[in-house]
Amino acid sequence: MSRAADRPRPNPVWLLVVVVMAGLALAGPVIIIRDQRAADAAAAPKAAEGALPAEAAGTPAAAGGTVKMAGLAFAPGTLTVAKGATVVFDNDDTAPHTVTARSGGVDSGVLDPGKQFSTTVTEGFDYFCQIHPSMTAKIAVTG
Amino acid sequence: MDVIELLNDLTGGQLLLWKVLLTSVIFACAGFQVLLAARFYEASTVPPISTGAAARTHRLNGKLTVTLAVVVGLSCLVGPAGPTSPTRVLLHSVFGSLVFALLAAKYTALKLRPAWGRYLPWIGSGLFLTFAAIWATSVADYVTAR
Repeated sequence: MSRAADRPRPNPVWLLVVVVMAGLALAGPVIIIRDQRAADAAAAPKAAEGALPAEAAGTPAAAGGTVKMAGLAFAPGTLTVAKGATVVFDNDDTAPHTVTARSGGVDSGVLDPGKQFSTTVTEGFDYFCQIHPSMTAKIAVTG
Repeated sequence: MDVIELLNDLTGGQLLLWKVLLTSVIFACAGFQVLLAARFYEASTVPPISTGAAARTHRLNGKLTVTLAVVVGLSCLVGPAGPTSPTRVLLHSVFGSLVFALLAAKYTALKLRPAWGRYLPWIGSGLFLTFAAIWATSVADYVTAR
């Protein structure tokens, strides 16, 4: 009888555990590559929308507003602005953050400390930070 | 409701804090694993228990550590995983993936390819160092950002 035939068959449960662990190991790189491709595809429209360096941001439009990011929180938690107003998101924190709408549409990409992102809002949305998902807030629109 | 929203609700809006706490527990468990392994390989007399007890505790503590690591890892994968900037976030993702690659290697050596058992001390040491790197690239950032 051959050595291969002598070898005990692997326990399928442990085989599954190894496959799951390997799957988890591969999930990170797969997500990174997927998101990088999505970010590259969205880069041009986003630049037009207004991802601004801090020094070039200027003053928000009338009836608009500013949301500060500091201490791993958005402030204010709910900002109410007029329809069509410009909202500026200002990362005053020491950590990078994102402004990502739960319903899609608005996504700042990663905003390093000191950077700003602005967008014109036509409807309200809930948003959060992808890096720190416990950071959540809301934009409400009137008019 | 998406998964991140659900997790945020389950943790009362303190998902990141819970992840930081669990990551610290995992890191502590990983350190304990190294001590227990050193004990049952008879490379150390600490903790002062028999080698058999050290081996049993190592298996139990290992199961707890892996379970917590899978929970925290999944909560990362469904939410914040993806950004490659800043470097800290990229490194965190790399180490997070590496830890599961090492766990796959460890279970293979333990359960599927016993001949690979001679590599277990290296894999275990690598796991501890990787857990340390994950802790440093998450908890340290969380604390300094506060």
